[in-house]
Parts: sequence; structure tokens; C-alpha cells
Amino acid sequence: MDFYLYKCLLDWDGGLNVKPNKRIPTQHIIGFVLSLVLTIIAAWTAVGSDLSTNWIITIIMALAIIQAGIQLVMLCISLNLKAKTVTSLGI
Amino acid sequence: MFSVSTMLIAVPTGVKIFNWLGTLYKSKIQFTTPMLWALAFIPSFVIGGVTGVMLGMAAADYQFHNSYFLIAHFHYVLIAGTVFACFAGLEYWYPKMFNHKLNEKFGKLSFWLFVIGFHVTFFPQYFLGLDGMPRRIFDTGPEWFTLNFISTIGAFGMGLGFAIFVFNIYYSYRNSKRETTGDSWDGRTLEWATPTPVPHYNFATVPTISSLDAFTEMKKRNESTYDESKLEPIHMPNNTGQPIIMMALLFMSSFALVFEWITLAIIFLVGVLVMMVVRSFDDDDGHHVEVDEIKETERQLRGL
Amino acid sequence: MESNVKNAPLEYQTEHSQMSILGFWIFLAAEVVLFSTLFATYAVLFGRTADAPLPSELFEIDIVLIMTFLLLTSSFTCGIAIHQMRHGSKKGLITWLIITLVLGLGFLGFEIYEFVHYTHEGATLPSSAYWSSFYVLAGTHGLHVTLGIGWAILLLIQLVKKGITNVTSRKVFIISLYWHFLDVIWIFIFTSVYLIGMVV
Repeated sequence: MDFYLYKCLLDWDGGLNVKPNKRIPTQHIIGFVLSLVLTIIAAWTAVGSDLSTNWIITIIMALAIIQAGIQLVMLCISLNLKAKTVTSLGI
Repeated sequence: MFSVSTMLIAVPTGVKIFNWLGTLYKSKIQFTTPMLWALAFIPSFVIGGVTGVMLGMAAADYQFHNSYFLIAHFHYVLIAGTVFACFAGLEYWYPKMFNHKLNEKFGKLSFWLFVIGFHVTFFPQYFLGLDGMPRRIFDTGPEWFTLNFISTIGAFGMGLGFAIFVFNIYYSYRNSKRETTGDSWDGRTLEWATPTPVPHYNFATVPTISSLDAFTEMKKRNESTYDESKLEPIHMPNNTGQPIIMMALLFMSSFALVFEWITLAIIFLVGVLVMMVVRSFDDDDGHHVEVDEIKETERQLRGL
Repeated sequence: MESNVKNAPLEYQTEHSQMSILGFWIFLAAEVVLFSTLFATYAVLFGRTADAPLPSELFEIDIVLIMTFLLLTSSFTCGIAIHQMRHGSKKGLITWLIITLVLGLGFLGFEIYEFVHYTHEGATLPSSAYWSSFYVLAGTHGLHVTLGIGWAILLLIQLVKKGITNVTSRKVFIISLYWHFLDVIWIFIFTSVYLIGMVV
């Protein structure tokens, strides 16, 4: 595991050596807006739609899982982690 | 549901039994006390495991449920699986911890008394369970007397075995030969490569592993893990009382919660939080053990 | 070992920090187990409301949506704080961390209001198996948020005192992992407790 982690760290291109650039990464904003949109869709599906209960539960649970996925991707972007780093932590 | 979960545990455990037997097969087994404990674990645990599978059969479990059969089963699993292992581990690593072995004669005596006592105690309880004796009763009927009596005799055997074990600690402290090499059992794994008593920084140089049973290979080549030319200062944390204070406070708050002494629990939990704050602001970065000090310690301990 | 990672961000510079961060991932795994058991308990006890009010009578979509937005936004601002830290801006980091904290406090305020409201309506911790599991699940999450806020305040004091160093950057990085984790847990509470509670 350490090996992967070091490899990722060695491959690092962001971090300290970049010029001060205070602009918030675009992907970060997109992820945030997406998470809000997903929340609204889930809320509307639950209280505003005429679907059957089983359908509602299926849809909102799927939305929650997508939402969690987006949060994870956002985490990687905002923390400037590469997917490799995250997976190497799991090994 | 519980049948499925029982099988989920039982089947891999069955495989493990063959792992252990396979490891032992065609080996040169030395019947020292720790090995005896490890060996006694296997058949005892198999008895516990097999009766566990019996409990996992839903139809039969209507009969076994909450009877002494269950009691016998889980004592066979827990005592053979954890208590025997504790004894084995304690006897095995005792010289690494305290610089001398436990006396083998007393060790074996306590082993045999404990193991025989264990079987005498719990084996009859299977039959008590099959005879219909439920668990958690304080007054048993006369038809269960004989087996319960045998069980009691066995319990005294276990007690005596343990008493001898405790005496052995004292006896060995007085009489056992002190260790000189740090490799008490001609071990195969790396903890035996450090000198005994183990220096507070553990390994002076981090060993490089190139094969299975690295220490055996090193001994064959007449090498050791110690390489004076590769010594570097070792970073160590400073001594601090913080963890033990924090744990003591956590223990006391848990204790208070058990008896629902809420106010007391809150007081201790606030103490825990205060300790967390103290720890957060603690920027003690530890210290380095210098090369000269390591060299001196290792030379003295290894007799170089 | 330490010279290998000169290009890595500040919080990964020392071996100590790397191990702390890895250790925190393992802690989060244990937290996942904790919340899994609470979710499982909730699922098993769902519908066992006895004489207490039904969740569908009490849950209100607007409050829950506000809470969710507050927490999602705080997760976003927490990410910006880390972004600022990566660019060495102490002022930016502190500002965005404080914004994160205020959002977290807002979330907490709504949750306390919500709990008090439900209690007045007759749904208390001992009133039924369902409400016990509800309060324990949502309450454990709320307690985590509370602790996170206290923790962040300690880090803010250290940031003001010491600036962005190896140690403080590691600590801020770790709390950001924690904060994102709480956000993800809340998404599942939002869906499986509140939305499903309103539908069923």
C-alpha cells in the first residue's frame, strides 16, 4: 500500500509549486450544483410526484447513491487527490 | 437467518483447521509448553465447532436452544480459541518480555491440569443439555446431579492448573536462567532478531526482508538484522501521561454509564473532552535517539 | 523517505502526517460501520411507532431541505478552504473555514429546533421503538457535527497562532475528510429517514 501511496505522491503535479491561483476549480462548482439539483429532484420525487411508493423508494435511493458518488468525486477534486491515491489507501 | 450466519462462520473455520494441520504436517514439532497449548486448541476447538454446526441446524436447534448444550458449545469455542491462545502466547513471548522463560516442568503440569480440567468441566455439559437442563437456573434437579458434580470437579482442576501457572511466574522469576541472545526458541520470525530486553526503540536498523521466514535465512547466512553502518537517528515520541489519563477518564465514564449515573458520566466525559483539547494543542514533536546511543546500547546487548 | 515527496502538498510532507491521514481513513471506515448498524436498527424498527405520532405526520420537507442545503454548502465551502490552504492563503483558509462553521452551526440549530418540535408533538426518545432508533441515528450524526464544530474551532485557534505549517495543514486536511464524511452520512439520512418517512 505504501508503495502506491508514494507513487501517487511522486506523480503529484498540483500542490505547493503552483502559482497562487485562487480561482475555485470549475469541476468543484459543477459538483456542488449537481448535488443541490439531485437533492431537489429526490425531494420532489418523494413529495410532489404521483409514483407508487416502491418506485419512489427505488428512485430516491438510487439518487442518494449517485449523490454519495458525486460527493466522493468532489472530495477528490477539492482535496486534489487522484483516484489512484484513494484506491491505494484502500489496499 | 442464523443457520446461514452459522454456516458462514463454520465453513471457513473448517478450512482453517486444515490450514493448521497442514502447517504441522511433516514438521519437526518441539513439544514445549506453548506448542502444547497450540496443539490442544485444535481438537478442543473442533469439538466446539462441530457442536456449533449442530446448533446451526434450525430444526435441531429447537431442542438445543438455551440448554446446557449451548453453554458447553460456546465454552469449548471461547476457552479453546482465546484462553488457550493467551496461555500459548504468554508462555511463548514471555522471554521476550521479561528476559527469562517460564519453567517448563510447572508449565506442563499447569497445562495438563487445565486442559483435562477443561474437558471434564464442559464435556458433561453437552449431555446435560441433551438431557434437557436449561441455562441460567440456580437449582438443578436430582437427575442432573452426577454430571454437574463431574463438571464441578473439572472446574477445580482448571483452578488448580491456573494456580500453578501463577506460581510458575513467581518460581521462574526466582529460578529461571536469564536470556543472553534474545532468540529464546530458535525462532523464525523477526521479533527474535532484537536483543532481550528489547531496546525502547525496537529495531536499530529496519530489517530488509527478502524471503519467507527472513530471520531463519539470516541465521543460515550468519547475518543479523543489525547493521552498524546503516544506523540513523531514530525518531521517538516523548513520554507523556496523556493517553493513560484519557483512557482512565473514558473508563470511568463508561463505568458510570453502565449504572446510569448520568451526572458522573457527564463530568468524566467533559474531562475526556478537555484531554482532547490538551492533546490538540500539544505540539511536542518527540525526540531522536542519537546514533552513538544506539551503538552503545546494541553493542552492550549483543556483546559485540 | 521524506525527501521522496517534496512535490506533494504540505500535509503529506512528513511520514508522521501520511500515517495520520491514513489512520483517519481507517477511523472513517469504523465510522461507516457505526452508522451502518444505526441505519440497520432504524430499518428494522421502521413503522413500530406504537401510540406515538407517525413520522409522516411530523416530518416537514422545507426544514429538512434547508438542513440538507446548509450541510451540502458547508461541505462545498470546506473544499474551498482546502483549496485556499493549497495556495498558501492563510486568510482565505480561515475565512472559508469560518463560513463552513457558521453553516454547520445553522444546520445544528435547525436540528435542535426539529427535535424540540417533535418532542412537543409527543414523539420522544422513549415513546416508541421507531422514535428511539430515529433519535439515536439522527442524534449520533448531530453529535458528530457538534464535535466537528468544536474541533474546527480548536484548529482555527492554532491556524491563527501558527499559520499554515506541516502540522496545521495536516490537521485541517483531516477535519475536511471528516466534514465530507458527515455530509455523505446526512445524504443517506435525508433519503432513507426523512424522504421515505414522508412517503410511507
